[in-house]
Amino acid sequence: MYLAEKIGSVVVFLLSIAIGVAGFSFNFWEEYGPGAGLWPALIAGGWFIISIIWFIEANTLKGSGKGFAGSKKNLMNIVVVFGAFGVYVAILGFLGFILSTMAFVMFILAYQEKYKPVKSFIISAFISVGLFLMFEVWLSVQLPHGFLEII
Amino acid sequence: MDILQSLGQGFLVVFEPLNIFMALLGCVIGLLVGVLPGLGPSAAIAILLPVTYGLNPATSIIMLTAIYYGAMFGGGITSILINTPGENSAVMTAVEGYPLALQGKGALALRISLLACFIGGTVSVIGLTVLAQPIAVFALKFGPPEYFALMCMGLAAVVFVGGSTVPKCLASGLFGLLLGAIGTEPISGSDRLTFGLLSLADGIPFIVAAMGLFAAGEVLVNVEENFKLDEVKQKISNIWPSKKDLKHCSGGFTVGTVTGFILGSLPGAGPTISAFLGYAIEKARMRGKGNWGKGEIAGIAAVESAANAATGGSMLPLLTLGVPGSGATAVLLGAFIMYGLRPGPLLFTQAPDVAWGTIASMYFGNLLIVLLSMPLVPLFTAMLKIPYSILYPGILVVCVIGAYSLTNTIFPVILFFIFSVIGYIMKKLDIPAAPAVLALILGPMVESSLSQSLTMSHGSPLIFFTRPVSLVLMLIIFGFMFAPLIKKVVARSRRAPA
Repeated sequence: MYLAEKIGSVVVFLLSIAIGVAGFSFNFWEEYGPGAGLWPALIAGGWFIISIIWFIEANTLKGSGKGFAGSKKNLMNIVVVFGAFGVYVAILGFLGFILSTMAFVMFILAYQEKYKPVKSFIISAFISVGLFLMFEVWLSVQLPHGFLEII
Repeated sequence: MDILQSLGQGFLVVFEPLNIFMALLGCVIGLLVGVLPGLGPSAAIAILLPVTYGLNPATSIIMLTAIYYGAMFGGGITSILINTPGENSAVMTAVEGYPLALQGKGALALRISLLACFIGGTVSVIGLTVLAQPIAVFALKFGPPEYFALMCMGLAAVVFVGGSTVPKCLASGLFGLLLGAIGTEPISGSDRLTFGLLSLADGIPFIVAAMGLFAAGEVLVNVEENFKLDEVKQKISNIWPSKKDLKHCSGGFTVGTVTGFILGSLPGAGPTISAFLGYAIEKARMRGKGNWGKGEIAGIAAVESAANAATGGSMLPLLTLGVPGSGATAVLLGAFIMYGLRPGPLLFTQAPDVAWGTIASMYFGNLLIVLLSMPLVPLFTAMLKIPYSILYPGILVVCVIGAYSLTNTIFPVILFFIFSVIGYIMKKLDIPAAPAVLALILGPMVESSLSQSLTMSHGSPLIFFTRPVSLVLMLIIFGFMFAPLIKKVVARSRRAPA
């Protein structure tokens, strides 16, 4: 965990440099008052100082701390869920809300609860169609229809 | 008389049929959010905010506020029944309530908790009603330097009382300010930090950031840890508090309510710190006499009344000064802004239906929750039996719907995914999300006030130290900044003689 803290502080340090550089591309002061670059530069300066303090603090911690994700199984769990979620976001526009949500929920149920395909299908269909009806029909919130819209 | 008249007008707004329904819906959702661990009021308000687009501002704010105080009520239920606090503020309720449930007195603990919630919530709304107008009138005298100092104080309070280490809270706050700086620059109108993406010209939508950092971050950490809830194993018997019980708890009700309202109205403190302090003060006042740690109803009375009084208290700086003191009130501020309203002194004159409607709805909502809570306990305990692996994809999908509905494009959904990853990493590194969300909302306003102040003073930062109100606020900010350092020095000097 302490390694993760050190990496975190380095990331913040690098970001502070990047934001600082971006801030310098604008004027700090205009004729009438502060320019667009002043605010990002102040934020970058704050981040720069904090990243150094954080890095020093992380280095003073003794031992190696617990792992970032606890165990390999936990890490695997979260990687799979993030992966599935990422794919869901990617296919949402193409497949539309109902189909992509069904696929996402079915996958999660099959992976985590080890449900049989029929049970996973029924639950995921209930969730996706139920949410679609609730939001699109009842609350008039527009949802992506994907290729089904063309049909 | 003015206050009573305004409150009366507020009640007229609340008693419109749609507003009654939305207040009821908000209370039920809030109770449910409070019952379900891993989903706080901030996340719930952020998730449901896009859904309320079509409603008028007063109706929407009434519903969202009901979610906030409803969650505080609900937080105690799972603490007492399954030793799992639905809210951080209900941790001490679990310490005293769960042993009572094991002794077959779960219903007694629930009813004391409910009564404490009602007393704390209602008294704090009375405080809010009485103090809102005078504070708003006073705040009318504020100029840009005072607003800059006030918003910095709000940020500093959340950062320095954030719960984690100061560098982490500060990093989170600065991250929020950075997000707030993306988009069209408020003074010159030029695009800034948008990396050429047109979709970023309007800035980062705070709802997407709030949902990702609060909701998805929390949910995904629970997923990783294979989160499972215990079932309710105790039978809920029908025990009502006796006169003796009520007398025994009267101190707890009073201490909790006063502590909660005062601390809640200070930016940064919020329900959690209020609840812990209320518990500690009541325990000290009773000099440890009683069943502390083994099922003390006075402890439940103090914790629950403090947490609920803090919700009313926290609405005070939000409505009168436009400065939120916690994650949930920050999201509420975002809701006001989304509707084109600017909380602060002018809200009471420009949108009195919203300001007084919100206050009046809190009286009504507190009563509604008392009527709803006990009959709904079996439903809530049944909800807890739903596997988390069914609940969490549902929560993520609702967030996706919320993100998509902002512009009816996939771009905010992609942003939500990115913020989910960031929220998860922040949660794992113990970096609080509240400062980031608060800073994202306040950032553009802080920048505008800073620019206006510096323009007024021809670039001299001394303007913040030459005006009495901003000077006092600046001194408070310095107090927040140096308090941890002073604490360290004092602790070291105490250890030195030994």
